[in-house]
Amino acid sequence: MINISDKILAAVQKPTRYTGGEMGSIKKDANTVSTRFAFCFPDVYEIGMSHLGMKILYHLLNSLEDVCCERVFTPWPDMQEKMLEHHIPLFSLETKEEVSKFDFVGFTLQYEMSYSNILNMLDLAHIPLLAKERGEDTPFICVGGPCAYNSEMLADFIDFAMLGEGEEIICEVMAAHKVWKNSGKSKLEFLKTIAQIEGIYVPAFYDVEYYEDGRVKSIVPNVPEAKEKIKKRIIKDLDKVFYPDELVVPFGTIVHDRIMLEIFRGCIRGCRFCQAGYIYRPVRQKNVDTLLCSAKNLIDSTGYEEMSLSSLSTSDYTHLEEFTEKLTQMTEQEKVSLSLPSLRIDNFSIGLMQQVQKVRKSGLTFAPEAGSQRLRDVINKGICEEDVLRSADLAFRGGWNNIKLYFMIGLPTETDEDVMAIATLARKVWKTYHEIPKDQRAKNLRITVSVSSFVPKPFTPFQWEKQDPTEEFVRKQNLLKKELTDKQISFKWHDSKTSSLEGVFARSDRRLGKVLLAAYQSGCKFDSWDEYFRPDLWEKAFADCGIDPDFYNRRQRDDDEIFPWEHIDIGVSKKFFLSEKHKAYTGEVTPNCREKCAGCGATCFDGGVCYE
Amino acid sequence: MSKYRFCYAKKDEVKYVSHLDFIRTVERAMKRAHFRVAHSQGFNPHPQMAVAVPLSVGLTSQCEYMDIAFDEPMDLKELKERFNAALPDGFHILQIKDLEKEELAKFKYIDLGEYEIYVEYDGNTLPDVEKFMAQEEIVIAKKSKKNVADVDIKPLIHEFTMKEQTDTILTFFAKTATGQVNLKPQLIIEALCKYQPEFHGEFLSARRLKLISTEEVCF
Repeated sequence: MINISDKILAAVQKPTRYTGGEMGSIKKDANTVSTRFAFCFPDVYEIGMSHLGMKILYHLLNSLEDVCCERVFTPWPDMQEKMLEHHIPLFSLETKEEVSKFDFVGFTLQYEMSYSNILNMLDLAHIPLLAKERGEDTPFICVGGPCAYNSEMLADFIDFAMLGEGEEIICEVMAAHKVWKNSGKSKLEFLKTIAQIEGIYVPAFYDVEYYEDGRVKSIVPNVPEAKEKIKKRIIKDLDKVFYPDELVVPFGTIVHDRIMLEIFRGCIRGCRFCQAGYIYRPVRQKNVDTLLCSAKNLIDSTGYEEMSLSSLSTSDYTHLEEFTEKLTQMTEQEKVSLSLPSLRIDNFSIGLMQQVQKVRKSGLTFAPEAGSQRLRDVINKGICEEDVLRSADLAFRGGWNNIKLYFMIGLPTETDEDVMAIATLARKVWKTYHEIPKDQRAKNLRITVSVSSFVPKPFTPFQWEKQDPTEEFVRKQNLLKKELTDKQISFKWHDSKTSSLEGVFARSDRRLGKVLLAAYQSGCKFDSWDEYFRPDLWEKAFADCGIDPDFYNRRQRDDDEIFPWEHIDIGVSKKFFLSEKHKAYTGEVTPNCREKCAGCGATCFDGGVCYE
Repeated sequence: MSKYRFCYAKKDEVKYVSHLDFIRTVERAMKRAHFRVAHSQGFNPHPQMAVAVPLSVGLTSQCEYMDIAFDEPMDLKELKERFNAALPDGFHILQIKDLEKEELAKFKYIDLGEYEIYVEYDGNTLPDVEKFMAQEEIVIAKKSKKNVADVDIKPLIHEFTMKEQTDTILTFFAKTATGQVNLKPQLIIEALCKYQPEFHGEFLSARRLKLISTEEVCF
């Protein structure tokens, strides 16, 4: 156990990031369990504590009698400085135990830009960064979460990855560990055992061969225990799976400081740029009673004053009317305010939001993603201009005056006309407002146009695409800046250098591991934080390692190219992605899962929307 | 409506919880405990509660006070048990007083506080506290949100003595202005080190022992 002195805590920002003891946190006696799991989120406390997956797995693991799970976040740089100065290794929040003393150190990979923080945390924990340099007495380093589907960039640093939804697989790994711990066998033997569990990927058990030009030639298992293809795990029945009845309630405010109620997983829509829309297939939902029961338990146990529904697209929940009617009854009685993200705007949802949002201070967000109809068809967005304008009209008449419009630039086949169409659409929304008689709309119109830069992701129809170069993103942003000059329309954009690097990481292969190591050693960490992001150091790391980042994001891949993630199976077939890619080029749309099965391959999981 | 005054302790494990975070923690604890707390009117109703003289972050206390209004009368013993069960470790209700016939006070009569101050030092030179207190004035740069200004804190220190010493830690007792005029205990130590540079001390933390009203108004 580590004692962090008052001198240190008094000198850092937000000391409650490091002190633990929050309501709902679980402190077990290490001597009473066989396995200790350090759940690490490679970002600061307020971000990590907002993550639903961590909440679920934390309480699930602690519900196992033989396991304790403790939380670890990346200490903010001010704290890191103090820790180095006072020789304090990375510690867990619950028992202040050194992270290196745990059996497992598990990182959740929510976004690529957090990778340098993983090395940062291992280093702070005094754990050797490279898997091959770690001895028998070091913890197993594992990863999970959406970026684990292509974690090749981390292959040198991790022992194994858990692919897909974690509730079952993590318990299977814990059970295997208990047996192994008493067996006296080596760590390698343990990895061979769990490599046979569906969804477990041990990078060291695969040899990757490359062509001279850098493309992957083959990925072949090098031990008999390793599967040819590693298939992701899903939870077939969300009504039966564990969902926490309590949450850790932080003292300080965090990013999502509320109860999150997950209503379903997956998305029926199939937007072609969206990785989440494919990796969580097939759509599976919880029934109304399960949700109401969870909601009541969580309100009672946490005392939270706010609840939010969580899913990729709230409107696609099939029992939404029945559910929200019963839920609002409960939340009104319990004085809990309800937020309803990702709702499509129609008469029903406007009425619902008017009911739950007594004070209308928050804005409404629309995500047309592309400005022109042509490009919206390319990405299979499935909405037209009329939908957007009708929604805006409803919202303005319903009393909203603050509307955010989300777009992407750099989408495949995009021309300058498509970019300018973003401004045109924003102006049409503006016009919609001004056409409504003054006494029927709220005052002070505010339209925010937010533009992010497209990053092609693995396991999407656009995984073959090249990404726009940084300068091109900037040029397109400037085109829009010149167009969007109205005082009531504000324009926001993302840093394009971050998007470019994200593009490289997303479709990484194993050779990028040495770049990550070099970048970290030269001082890169907290890359997703503007004030700490150092693109110059990353550029230097690529140059020093003799690796050209353009190979990863500036190259159009052939249809038959072997991807670095070729051995990972998310259930959606490469054949389907390829056909979607070609349909995209001709602007042919694919109906959603409930309209007509597109034959993506997710039927192999024997559940969900495929069998409704 | 029933009004109660709670005396509570803020212990080591929660001493870095700020005043605003504490308010939120109490509100959530009361929801967990299913108390029927009286709410303010308006768009954004919130529980009717008042906390006496917020404690600085990093300090512990054995004598904090807050008033809370309830929609229904409560059994004091049960109220204390249920409240403590719902509060995170480190916050502990010690006593509850029924305020039925009084107004929800704003604790405006509190003007003094007693503190124990813990200071790490090199084990060699002890400070001369008497000499320090015998000075005409004790001027120190006090930071506010906007600027830094030299302030004479001498009138704010009513008592300051050394209580205990070990090889590494010194414990002081201080009675200082607390309330609308407030002196942070760490400032006294800062001043002591400034006036007696041969003393190498570093403020660790402090504990509030008592809140006092010199007008002897009951609170």
